[in-house]
Amino acid sequence: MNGLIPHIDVPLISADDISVLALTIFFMPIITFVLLFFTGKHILAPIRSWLATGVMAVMFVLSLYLHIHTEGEHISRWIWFEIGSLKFTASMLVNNYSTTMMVIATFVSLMVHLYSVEYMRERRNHSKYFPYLALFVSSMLGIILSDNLMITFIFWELVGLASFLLIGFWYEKDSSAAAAKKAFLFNKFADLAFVIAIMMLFANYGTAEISVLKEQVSITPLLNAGIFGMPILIGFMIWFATVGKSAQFPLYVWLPDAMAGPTPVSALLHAATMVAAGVFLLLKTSFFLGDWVGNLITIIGCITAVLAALQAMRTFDAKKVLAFSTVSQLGYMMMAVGVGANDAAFFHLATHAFFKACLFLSVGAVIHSMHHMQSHQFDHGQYKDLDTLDMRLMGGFRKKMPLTFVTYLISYAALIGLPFFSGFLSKDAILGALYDWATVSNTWTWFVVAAAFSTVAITAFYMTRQLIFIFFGEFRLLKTDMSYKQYFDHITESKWLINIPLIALATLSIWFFFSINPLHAQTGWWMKQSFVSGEHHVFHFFIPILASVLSIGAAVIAANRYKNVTVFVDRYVGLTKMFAQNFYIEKSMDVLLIRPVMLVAELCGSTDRWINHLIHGKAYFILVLAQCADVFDRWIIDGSVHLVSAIINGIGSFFRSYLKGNVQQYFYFTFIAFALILVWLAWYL
Amino acid sequence: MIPIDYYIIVSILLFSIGSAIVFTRRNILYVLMGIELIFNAANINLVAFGQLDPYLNGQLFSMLIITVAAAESVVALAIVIVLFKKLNTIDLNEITQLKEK
Repeated sequence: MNGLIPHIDVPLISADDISVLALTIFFMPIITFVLLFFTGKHILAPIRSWLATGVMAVMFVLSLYLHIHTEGEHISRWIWFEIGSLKFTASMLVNNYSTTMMVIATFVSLMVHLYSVEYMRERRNHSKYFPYLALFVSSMLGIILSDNLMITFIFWELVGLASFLLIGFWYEKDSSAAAAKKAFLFNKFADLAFVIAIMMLFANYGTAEISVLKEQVSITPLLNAGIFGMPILIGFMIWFATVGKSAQFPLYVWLPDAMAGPTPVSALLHAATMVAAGVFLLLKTSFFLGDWVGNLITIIGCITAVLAALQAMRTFDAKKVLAFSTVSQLGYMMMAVGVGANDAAFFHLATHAFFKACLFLSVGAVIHSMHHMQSHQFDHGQYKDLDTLDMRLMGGFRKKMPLTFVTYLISYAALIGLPFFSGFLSKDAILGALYDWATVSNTWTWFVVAAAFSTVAITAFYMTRQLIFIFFGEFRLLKTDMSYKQYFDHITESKWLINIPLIALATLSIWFFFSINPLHAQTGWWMKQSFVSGEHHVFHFFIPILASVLSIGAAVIAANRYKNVTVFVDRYVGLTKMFAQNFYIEKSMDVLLIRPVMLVAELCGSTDRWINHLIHGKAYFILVLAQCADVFDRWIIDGSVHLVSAIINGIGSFFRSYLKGNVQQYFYFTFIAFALILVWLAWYL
Repeated sequence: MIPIDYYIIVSILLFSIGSAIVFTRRNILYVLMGIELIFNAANINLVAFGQLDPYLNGQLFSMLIITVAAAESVVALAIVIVLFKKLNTIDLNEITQLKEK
């Protein structure tokens, strides 16, 4: 490097119709945000909910239109700002890939909005809820559309901000505020890597335009052989940024805590906006990934998938089970990215968005009715602290809420990967890619494949456990408190505003939306149109069979295990504790990172104090010296000057004492003095 | 031509008379007159010695002194008037404002 910024020619491209439409869609939620954020309190609650929902519906329709009419790539690029001769550009890329993501994001957001209209009705701080949602969606659209990593970073941070606001929406609860803070800080830590990546890009290429870089960057075998070649290191940094947003080991611990937010927010966060952003960014910039970074991504993804799935097996919090399952599925997507199966990862991201949103909203409906029971009891003059998320207190909702049960069942089947459901197709694609990768690589890769397959089984296990806890058996809350009986009898299906999103999302979890062939996605229109790389996968027949057998087997085992459980005795207290503590990740972070930093800080502090003492000592020394100098100055130097002046003053006053102010006397003296001078002169001359 | 000694004698006499007036009289106007006499003593010297100078510089200089003395006596008389207005006296024994308080 010679200190000059490398120059790559970045052509400016004006926006065409497609780009303008995409920009319009992007700006719509921003307008909603500004309008509702500043004037929300003066608008009636139903109007503002329906306004936000209506805008979202229009956005969805426009996105769909955009998706249908987009062919090829539509890049538009402008000068953002200039510093001297440096030009910073902003750009937008519309292609099949981004419009697909837009359709998914806007659709899930629309469903969540519809759901929220009912779910958030009469909740505290309602006027702020929809603007925050709009901010969330618009930032996500920004990430999707942006073709410049600097612009992406701005929206990346905005997504972080919006998630912070929404996770901490009920901030008067301490757990909510803490979860929001945790999510924010964990994300910030990872975002540091993003900043470093952008700096590296500017130092090496002088631009952060993804499509320009895509043509410039090529990872040669030579680069792959070395560890710290420049594009590879950039890829590593970008991946680390996604470790925070897409909740990978060891930073995934914020996501389960993020369940403190409202349930629709969880659905949005897990399906369309927050966690998808990381995977999506990594797919966009996958040309940076070198061999060892790819392997690292796969290994970390694998660890994430297994650990989170294990934790999901032992938690009783209905939403946390789903949160851990999201983390686990994100691990799958990352594994696919790591082995280079970008289309499989994106496919799983899409299918996961629908079925996970559906799962969250279904469980949310159940939680909603639990809430209703609690508040009914409150209306009757009793308040009992009831953990409405605790699955141990649920049960028997199958008969009370059959529609919710059906939608949950469909998305459940999609998640555990049963045939004829969307999850089966995408999971099969990922497992197939992993298998292909392992056959050409080293022996350790088979551990990853084995872990991926066992996670399929674990997933089926914990999801079946949740299914049985919530929907089957008897309503276990009555065992501890019969006073809920009258309210439980009155539980009915939720309102239609809640049911419509459930039905829509559940429908989209069925296979035919993605592929005509229910057993293989390669023939489906989805993989043909929305893929990233377009490479062809070999179809291994045994993989879907093995995965299905594993998941059905695990589901049956779980069903037998939990079918008749009424009393909860924890036989593995240590295990539960370890899982509840997130495998001591936070603790080890505390011990490995925070404590040493604090120790160093303490050391620095005490060193600093010592330096302060030294400086103070020096100051005192100088002060004493100054006092001495002062005394010397005052008495010796000033004194001698004063003495001289006093002598002269004395002489002066001696002579002055002879003068009485009479003019003639002055004249007389002058005369005598003059005469004396004359005499003196005469004497000498 | 009158020898130069006579001029000097007259000049000394005038200077002595002027000085005596200045030293002895208490009236401020007399003192001023004495000063005029001292001026004229000097003038006589200048004129007398100026005779010996072919360019007559000394005599010219005495003309200048006469002019300046006239102007100066105007200023002196003005001061006397102001003094009289302020102190209501022209007795030099009573005017001792020059003494340091």
